[in-house]
Amino acid sequence: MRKVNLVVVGAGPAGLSASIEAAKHGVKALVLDENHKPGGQLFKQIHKFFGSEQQMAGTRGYEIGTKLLNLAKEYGVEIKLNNRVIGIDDHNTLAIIDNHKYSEIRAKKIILCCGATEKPLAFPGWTLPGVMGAGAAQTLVNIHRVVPGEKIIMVGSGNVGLIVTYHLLQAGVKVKAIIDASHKITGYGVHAAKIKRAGIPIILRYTVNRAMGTNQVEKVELIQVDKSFNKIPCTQISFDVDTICLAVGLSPSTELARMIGCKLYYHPKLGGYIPMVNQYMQTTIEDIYAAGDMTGIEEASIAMEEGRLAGLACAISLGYISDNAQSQKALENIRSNLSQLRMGNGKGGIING
Amino acid sequence: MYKRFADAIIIGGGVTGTAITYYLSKTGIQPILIEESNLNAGASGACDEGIVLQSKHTGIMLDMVLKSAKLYKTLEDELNYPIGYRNVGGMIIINEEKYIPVIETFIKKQQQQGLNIHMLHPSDIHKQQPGLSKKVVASAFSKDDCNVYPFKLTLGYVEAAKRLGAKVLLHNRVNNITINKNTLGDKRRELRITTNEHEILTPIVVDATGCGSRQIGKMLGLEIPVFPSRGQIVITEQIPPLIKHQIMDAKFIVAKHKPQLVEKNNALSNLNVGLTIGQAETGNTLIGGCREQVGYNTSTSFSTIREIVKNAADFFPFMKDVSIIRSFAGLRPTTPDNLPILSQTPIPRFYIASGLGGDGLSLSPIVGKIMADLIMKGNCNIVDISQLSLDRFFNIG
Amino acid sequence: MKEDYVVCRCEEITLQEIKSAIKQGAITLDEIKKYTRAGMGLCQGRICSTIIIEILKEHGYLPQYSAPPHSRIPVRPVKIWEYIGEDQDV
Ligand SMILES: Cc1cc2nc3c(=O)[nH]c(=O)nc-3n(C[C@H](O)[C@H](O)[C@H](O)COP(=O)(O)OP(=O)(O)OC[C@H]3O[C@@H](n4cnc5c(N)ncnc54)[C@H](O)[C@@H]3O)c2cc1C
Ligand SMILES: Cc1cc2nc3c(=O)[nH]c(=O)nc-3n(C[C@H](O)[C@H](O)[C@H](O)COP(=O)(O)OP(=O)(O)OC[C@H]3O[C@@H](n4cnc5c(N)ncnc54)[C@H](O)[C@@H]3O)c2cc1C
Repeated sequence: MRKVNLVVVGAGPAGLSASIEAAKHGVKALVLDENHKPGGQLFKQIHKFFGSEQQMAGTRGYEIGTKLLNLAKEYGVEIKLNNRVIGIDDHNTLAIIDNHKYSEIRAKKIILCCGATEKPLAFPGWTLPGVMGAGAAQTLVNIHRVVPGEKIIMVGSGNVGLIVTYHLLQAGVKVKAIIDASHKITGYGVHAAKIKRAGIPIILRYTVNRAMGTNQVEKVELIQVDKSFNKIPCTQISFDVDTICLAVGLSPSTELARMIGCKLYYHPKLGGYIPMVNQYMQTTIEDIYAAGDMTGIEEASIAMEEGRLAGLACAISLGYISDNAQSQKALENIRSNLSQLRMGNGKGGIING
Repeated sequence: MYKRFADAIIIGGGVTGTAITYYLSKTGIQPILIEESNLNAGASGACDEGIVLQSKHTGIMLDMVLKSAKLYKTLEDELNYPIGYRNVGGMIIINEEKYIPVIETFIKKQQQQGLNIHMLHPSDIHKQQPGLSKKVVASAFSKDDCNVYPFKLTLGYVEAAKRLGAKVLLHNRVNNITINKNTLGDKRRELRITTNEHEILTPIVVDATGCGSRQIGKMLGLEIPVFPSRGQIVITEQIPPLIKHQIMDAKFIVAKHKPQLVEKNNALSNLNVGLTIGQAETGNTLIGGCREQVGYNTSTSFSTIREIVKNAADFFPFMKDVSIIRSFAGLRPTTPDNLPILSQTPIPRFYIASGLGGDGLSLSPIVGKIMADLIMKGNCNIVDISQLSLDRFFNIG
Repeated sequence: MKEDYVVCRCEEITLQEIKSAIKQGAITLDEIKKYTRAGMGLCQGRICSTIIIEILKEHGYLPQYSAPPHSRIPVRPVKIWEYIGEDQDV
């Protein structure tokens, strides 16, 4: 069995940043990702990112991805793609399907950066073809260059809903409206302004009542909700659409953390059950760290800083840097970047929806 | 803390406790079932679906399972609940010549005791179960083996018992059992059960907590020798109905009955891995199994899971193209002599129905009936339960 | 007629089935899974668990007070031939 000092699961912004940070200090880091391309969510993002200069704000998502990859190469990080991590046991052994073959690797430290999956929204008709996650719609337009449909309604006015709507518009799709059950737009003003300029209505305090259609979505019926999100009778309105895009939030991918027995807690604003981590991004299990969306849905810049924090903490605990005032200062710097980022967007860094 | 009274209390919401609750309710009393978590939280939620007759030793075990199988035939109607009972038939497949005589002797005795079982003609084996590897050189077949879905079985018992007046307290852990000194001359107050929410006085308590029995025994100063034996199972995606029977590798039987014949020279036999496989009504296949002494640990282990998977591919080459979606482990409540404990105890009206090992699902209805008899009539003439008494562990020498 | 739709797509478990399991006494994701099979399918609850959490919340059972479900190997579906390390045309 191969033995390594540090395995990072997930080659998204958190995982790449973690491995770079550790490698900078001499740790030979191995990054595993199930996809055939690295970058996690980043490579889907053709828009300019928000966040501070330092975290490459103003750069487009895929460009951040490319930069991180180049840095990883420069520091000698080993990235293995098409590597599905299917389990971790209590001896820090990872069970991996490496390009369709089972193998095991033992690591001294493991950083989990597994990201998140899209949340669904259930209503009568939600299983009809034509109902899809905004992320899936984004992959179609930005990566495969196919449009998901002709007439779309977007559910969710968070940043993801706003951004994906914008991408769809750029691809020439007719977006009938964005709706949200909340009483105000949950994403950033800049993104919402762009949408409004394009003449797309943003309908608040409405949710989907049902989707209709025989073999595929043909119509969506919306219904108004009150402050406690109860449906108000006789307020239905409907739109002819062939696609309903759901951008109702992400849910952290915690399967591996749960398998090893990390303690989780429920935090609705951060997306659901997330592993408890301390100021080093260390979970309740000594050798297991976690960072990025899986410790709470925020944004790429935060995922990157969290990754760095975990990477540096691992380098210290593996003995590559001594645990002294200087290294503690370095950790503290990353933490202060994090709190600045979280304050910067006035929302505690949370993408609502 | 709520104070209340009960005609009887059954502790443990597995296939054993729920069966007893039902059969006791049928006698006209109104028991309360107490479960620390929810139904099927223990072994009954981490097992196969087999009502397996042909794996049982002749004697009391075979006797009980034959009687149990008979009850199962009408249970679904009786409970008026879909418990997923299916008469699928079962095979014990043999891939090593040296196991053949062991199995042949084994089934000859079983036939004498009335089990419907025979060796298949070698040319019929692969007709009986297409897709089976050519390595399988012999097989026993019993058309009486069945499947039942444990999650619905317990619900079926509970719903039927509730209609008869039984009550169920979920999310209540029994923390203490005491003998109430202050009965005011009333036998109905003799035992006191304390849970995290309730205090209940009752004349009758039945321990059906499987691997929890040692703990329960300690509350009353009794040693109840029930220990966990872990089994692991792999679940595949849903596939068309291809595994027609409940199938067991002869090694699993030989290891249980003649362990000296099973070689211990490779990883596989050290883990006591022997194939068990069955296909659920949903199309998922459940592949097991192993017996491991690892305490109360219910995680699955990479090496065992891999051996189980290899074994499945070995016996069923077509399975190679099937995906595994999940694994799980359960703890068989096992006794030192591999026989259950269905018994009275030195404490009046405190009973034990535990230690059902790898057979609890198969035996569930008959255990319910036996215990109802024992409790209500003071004896049981269904089978000779003296062999299953708690004393047997302490009367030696 | 009561509103109904599929909640767990893998096992085709409906809203009404989830609600009756809650009535029968299932109050956590794990318990709902055992009572109904929701979450036992190919995606192992990755999709339906958020929906079920919402349904449980509506009935007063808050996820804050219960542990998330257990997770076991493999966290993604794996073909048996991949598992046993045999070559196969991909
Ligand atoms: C539409 C959209 C727009 C966004 N816009 C912005 C924005 O403008 N600005 C911003 O800051 N943020 C934005 N974000 C958020 C940002 O993309 C995420 O916060 C960030 O990608 C999280 O990084 P991560 O590394 O934690 O996870 P991910 O990027 O999701 O990476 C996780 C990786 O781990 C892999 N993985 C998971 N489990 C396993 C396993 N068991 N085995 C192997 N590999 C595994 C996954 O396949 C994935 O590649 C946006 C997100 C979306 C969906
Ligand atoms: C992998 C595997 C495969 C199997 N396959 C089969 C098969 O095919 N056929 C077959 O017949 N058998 C099979 N078995 C065996 C079968 O599962 C068990 O014999 C049976 O489930 C035992 O049931 P039980 O009700 O006695 O115990 P359990 O199901 O363990 O129930 C005990 C209950 O008591 C509760 N409890 C414990 N302590 C307390 C307390 N202090 N207060 C309140 N509640 C408490 C627990 O939460 C639990 O729900 C298998 C077992 C395993 C592990």
